[in-house]
Amino acid sequence: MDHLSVPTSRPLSRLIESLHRMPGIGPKLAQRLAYYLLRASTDEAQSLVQAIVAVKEEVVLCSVCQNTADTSPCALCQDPARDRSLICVVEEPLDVLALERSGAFKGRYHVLHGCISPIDGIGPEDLKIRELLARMHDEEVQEVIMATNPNLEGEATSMYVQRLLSPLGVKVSRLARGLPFGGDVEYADEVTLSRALQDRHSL
Amino acid sequence: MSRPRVYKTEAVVLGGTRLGEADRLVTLYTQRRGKVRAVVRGALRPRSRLGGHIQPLTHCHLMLAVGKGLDVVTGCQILNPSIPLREDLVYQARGFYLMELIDNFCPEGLENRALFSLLVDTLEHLCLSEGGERVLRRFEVRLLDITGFRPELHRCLGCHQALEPVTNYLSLSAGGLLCPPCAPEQPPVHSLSVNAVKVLRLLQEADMETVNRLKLAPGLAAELEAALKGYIQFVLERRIKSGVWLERLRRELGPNGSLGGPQNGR
Ligand SMILES: [Zn+2]
Ligand SMILES: [Zn+2]
Repeated sequence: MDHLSVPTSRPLSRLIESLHRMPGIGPKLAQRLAYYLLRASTDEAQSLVQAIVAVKEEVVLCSVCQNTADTSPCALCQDPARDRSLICVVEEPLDVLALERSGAFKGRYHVLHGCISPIDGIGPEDLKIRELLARMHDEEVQEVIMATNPNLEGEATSMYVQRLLSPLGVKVSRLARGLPFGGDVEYADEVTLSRALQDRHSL
Repeated sequence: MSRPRVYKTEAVVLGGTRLGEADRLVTLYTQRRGKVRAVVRGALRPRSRLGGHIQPLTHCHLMLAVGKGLDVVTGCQILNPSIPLREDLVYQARGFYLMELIDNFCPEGLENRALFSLLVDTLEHLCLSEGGERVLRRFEVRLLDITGFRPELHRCLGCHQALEPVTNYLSLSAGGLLCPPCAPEQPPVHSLSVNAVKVLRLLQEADMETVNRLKLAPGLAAELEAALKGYIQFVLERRIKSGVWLERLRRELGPNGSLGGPQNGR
């Protein structure tokens, strides 16, 4: 990272390095952000620091769905309006946000915090799968919807969980994999097309 | 000699990670330039044309632009989507294992056409319904061959005598077999039965069709697997992590090794 050591101030290069470690932040952007913070008012810098500390100290994992939350169980798990018979399993907390924005799902969630990735040595024990199994003791649960990412690791996770849950008499389904809305059949790849055919339904 | 700014090549996608907001950094094994790391811009956006094409285990025809740092994928046509490897846990685990082996054995930018055709051939055969393990054993043996780690299986590496049809010893450090009198002096070794040595010799020479007709008793299959695994681990000085996953799945799913096969009935 030679190009990062240009700033002559050590605190500044330390900040740039910390920012650069964050996902999606390249060396240029890290530099821009660092110089922005340097020029920002003390109040603004303080409030950012406090927000970071608060995230580390106050955010907990919900004991039910394992999502990040202020309380445990989280507001969503406590909400009586949510359908308790449905659990939607996702890889990351951000996936819950995406599904909530759609407004299409009325059940509850389960966040695995990752996916099975054999090449990285990440197995089922590294995910919140045991916690998901524990939730199956709740008689009300009837269906688990796997909403892991449609890539190899996501599908490995989904197939593995399905294998664990099926013997328990729970219905396991997964999100349909197919053509994106607004996409074009002509440009779809073979895997997507074959999946879209498998997951077709009658009109 | 100036390199062209755009090139076309066949490739197998070995893996990929997220890069920035919506790009993917993919590792490819290409026919023309060996292992290459390249960027697929916007791959993670749902409407990306390339994102769906460039998934691990896919054999495709690619167009790449030479970038300042990494090459950029600009076009893709799928030759084999390896669909059966996506529909079953064990099939998929074999695919992961294959990708990880190639990634670990190959340095970036070193062309090896023999290895490329072996990879494509192996991928194709792993998609067929039976014999995935045999296909992997042949791949391991041929991979060792092509990358210069072919174990000597005909003469003892200690005394240089032809080997007797008795239990001999595969020496990892010597790179081949040792006869019983020579063996104990040079650990680490794996004992290898007469049949195991025969099969290994066959795997060094045989084409896929012959391998497909091969019937291996479970004990012999396990012996071969352990010996090759140990040998490869010694060569690479590391463990192949997806091999652990594959082993675990086979153990948990029973000898049949499949959840009833791929869903599309193939
Ligand atoms: Zn919760
Ligand atoms: Zn000898």
